[in-house]
Amino acid sequence: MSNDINLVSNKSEALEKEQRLLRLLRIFALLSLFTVAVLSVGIFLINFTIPISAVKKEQEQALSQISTLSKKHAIYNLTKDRLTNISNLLKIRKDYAKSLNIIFTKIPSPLVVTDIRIENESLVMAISGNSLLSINDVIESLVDFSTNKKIISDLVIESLVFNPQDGNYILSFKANIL
Amino acid sequence: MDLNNLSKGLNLKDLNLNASLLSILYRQYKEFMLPIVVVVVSIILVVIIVIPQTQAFLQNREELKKEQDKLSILKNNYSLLSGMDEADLNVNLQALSKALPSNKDFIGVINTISYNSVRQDVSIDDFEFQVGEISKNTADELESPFLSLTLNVSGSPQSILKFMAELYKSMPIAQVTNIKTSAGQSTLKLQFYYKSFAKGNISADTIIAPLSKEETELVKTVSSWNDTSQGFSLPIAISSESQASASPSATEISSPF
Repeated sequence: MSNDINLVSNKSEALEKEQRLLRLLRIFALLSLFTVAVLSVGIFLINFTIPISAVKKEQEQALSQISTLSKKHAIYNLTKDRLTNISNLLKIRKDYAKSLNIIFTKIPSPLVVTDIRIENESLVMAISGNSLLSINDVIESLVDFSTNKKIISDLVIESLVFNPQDGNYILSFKANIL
Repeated sequence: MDLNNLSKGLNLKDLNLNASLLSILYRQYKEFMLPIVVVVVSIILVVIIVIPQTQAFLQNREELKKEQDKLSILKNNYSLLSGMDEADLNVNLQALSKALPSNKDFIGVINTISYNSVRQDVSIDDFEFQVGEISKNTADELESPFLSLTLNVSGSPQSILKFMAELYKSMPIAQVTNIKTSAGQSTLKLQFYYKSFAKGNISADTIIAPLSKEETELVKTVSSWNDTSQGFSLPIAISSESQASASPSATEISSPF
């Protein structure tokens, strides 16, 4: 017998494969339709139950309650406005009196401050007295302030003049007030 | 011509062939048609219904969150406002408004200079306000508008410094920008700040918070400053001679205003 003769038909195998594919396709179609239906209905219901309107109603109630305290609310807002502005101002305000007071503490009693000029954060000061030792102490203190960038910076001793008429020394210096 | 007829005949033949082929294919696969149509319809439904609904759901959820946040802010605001003492708020606002008036407070400025000059033994010789252009509303444009004043005073450097220090602890808020002191005469350039209140509606859903520690401290500090707006009424230009000849009681001297 020839081996080429095939008693089992190829046609029935192909048909079976087609039937299986059809079954699968039907199941997939049903599943997709069911899934779409469930998703549509489910999402619709969830959307429907989101309580936005209830929250808005509560908001209106809260707003009407707040409106009964409108005066307090206004005062509170004005207070906050003043506080913000005052706080900003105090941050930028330069207190020259404080800086000068610290410098004054370093000026011993025999010396007298004869001239002070402050303009655009630049200080020019003249100190007069008959004690060179005290003037030296003042210069040392000023140099200390300037090198440590405390109160003043960029110290320049402009002059140290002796006045023979009254026997006083006059120290004049320039610095930037920090 | 012949060729054209031939091609036409061939086309018709092809069409007949295609139609018969389709018919054969339909008959062979007609059981597949319904599931395929169902799948296609499902896909169309997803595109037309499910996706927009999902987007709407996400939007609604976000909106709900926003509205809930707003509601909690409103409730919180209400409870905080209910707990605040209106009298306290008023006292604080009054003190802060004296420290930073909403407009040019000439009386406050003159009172504070007058009050502090007497306290620090400094005599005011003359003064000059630099008001600026009134027709222009420059105050709103500036971050920190101020009223400039040049003040000529007599006194020792120490008393001038004390005077300046007292000005810094007085209402309205002042800043000394220039100082020129020589032989007992000083010229001070001062800036007295003011600021109009912020314009615009007060929104109820803006978060209200109790005053912070720094803010409470600031209120305390400002409240402790010299308030010369009431009860003090000395004329400003008072030299030592005129002080001696004036009535001994400060309260009897009438205000220049």
